[in-house]
Amino acid sequence: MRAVFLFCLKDLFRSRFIGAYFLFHLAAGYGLMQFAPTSSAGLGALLSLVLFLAPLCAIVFGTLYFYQSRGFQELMLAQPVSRKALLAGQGLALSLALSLAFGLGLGIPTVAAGFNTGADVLLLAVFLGGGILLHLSFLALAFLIALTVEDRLRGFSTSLVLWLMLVFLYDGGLLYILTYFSDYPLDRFTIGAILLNPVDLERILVLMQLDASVLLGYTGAVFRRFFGTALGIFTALGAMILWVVLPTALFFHRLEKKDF
Amino acid sequence: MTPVPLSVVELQKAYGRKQVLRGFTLEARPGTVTAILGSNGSGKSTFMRCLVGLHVFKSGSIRVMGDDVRLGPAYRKHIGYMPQYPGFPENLTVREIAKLVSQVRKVAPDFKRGGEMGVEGFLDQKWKTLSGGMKQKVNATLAVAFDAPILVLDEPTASLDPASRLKLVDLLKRERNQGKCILLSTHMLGDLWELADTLAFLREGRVHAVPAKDMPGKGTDIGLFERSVAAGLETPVDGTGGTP
Repeated sequence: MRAVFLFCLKDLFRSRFIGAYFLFHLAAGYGLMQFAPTSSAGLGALLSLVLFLAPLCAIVFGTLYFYQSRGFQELMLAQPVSRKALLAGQGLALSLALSLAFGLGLGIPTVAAGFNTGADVLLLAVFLGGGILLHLSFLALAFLIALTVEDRLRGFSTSLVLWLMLVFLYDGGLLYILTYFSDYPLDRFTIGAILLNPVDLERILVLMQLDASVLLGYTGAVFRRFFGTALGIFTALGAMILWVVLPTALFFHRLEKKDF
Repeated sequence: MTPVPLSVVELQKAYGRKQVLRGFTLEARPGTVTAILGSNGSGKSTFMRCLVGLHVFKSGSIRVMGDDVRLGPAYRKHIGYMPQYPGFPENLTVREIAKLVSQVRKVAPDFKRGGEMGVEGFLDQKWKTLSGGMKQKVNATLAVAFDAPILVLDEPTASLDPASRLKLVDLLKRERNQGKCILLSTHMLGDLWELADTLAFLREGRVHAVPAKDMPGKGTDIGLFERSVAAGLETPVDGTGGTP
């Protein structure tokens, strides 16, 4: 696995996409930090960008990468290397490359903007750490889709539909339920529903650290009561990690039965 | 006693309800070239993919140098594989690709084995800058460079220019003469004329193996030989070596 990981990482570091991804985040980070009235507002704007783009880029690039490396996978699987070792090496390399491009791309401007002291360190850690987990979960979903769906076009469409559902439709549906059943106590349901979507988890975790829960009204108070506590933060982080672990476990389970 | 390089017994493989291989049985010996032949969709690639571990099969057995292929990937050190469409990470150079494969196989490549393919001339070029033919040359060189006793080649000459094709045929002849067991799938009947010792016709998921020397025209008339092979693909061939 080590050799596959190192050579795939070398390949990715030379690819234009990873370089462009890093530069885009760097430019967006400096730009938004520069023009926002306060650094917190700048981080809020960056959060919106991350919640929209990170899942999209991770799931699209992950799906394309998997399909494009089918020839490589077929050739390497004819070598004395196990399926798990090969795909783990590839997946880890891609995860590390995207995480570094994202983490450094936004880390450098945010640290330069002063998010490196006191409570800001925790805020930045939640923001970047959550963003990286978001990348990892959507990469895991991308690999699972590309492994399961043989046809590239269908696989790519499935990835885009999943992104659309988790980034837009899920929140729309949730909002509709909350409005429709506003007379009922939905605190636990809302928290449960948030835990089922990694994009919402990242949003809520960062907003709690930004003290912006007041903007969310009563729901914000509910979130604050749960996600503002250590238990809430760890539960949310655990749920985000599960969003990485479960698709990965399912991927490796299916991998053993896959006809390449 | 040296094990038979390749022994396939009653191999069955289905995709859903579609049974592709129904009791595929084949044995290949050192220093021979066995050509797997069949019409489109007859299961040639399916068999080769089962052999190199790309496909999972439910019943039957494949033994490579005595090792059951279901017991793990270690047996693949005995196989040099040349797929029809090679693929490697685009931004790696040929040298890096060879290094990656050698690290996985834990054997240093010997590029002199496939020297006629001329890969040493573009070792430092990135994969994405190579033409289809150059990629196939790298592919062929990597298949032989690790001195594996079995070579599995899927349409090896398909995207090569005539001169490179002849070089590859010479390379494969030399490998065979050095005792390699070669399995190839091809639609280029001229390759069979020059290389094949056994023609394994695949029909309805089963193998009908015919010694190439028994095909009309072999050794005397390439046109007649090619027509008789083509006829063998159309009409039933008995499994005892009879000609079609």
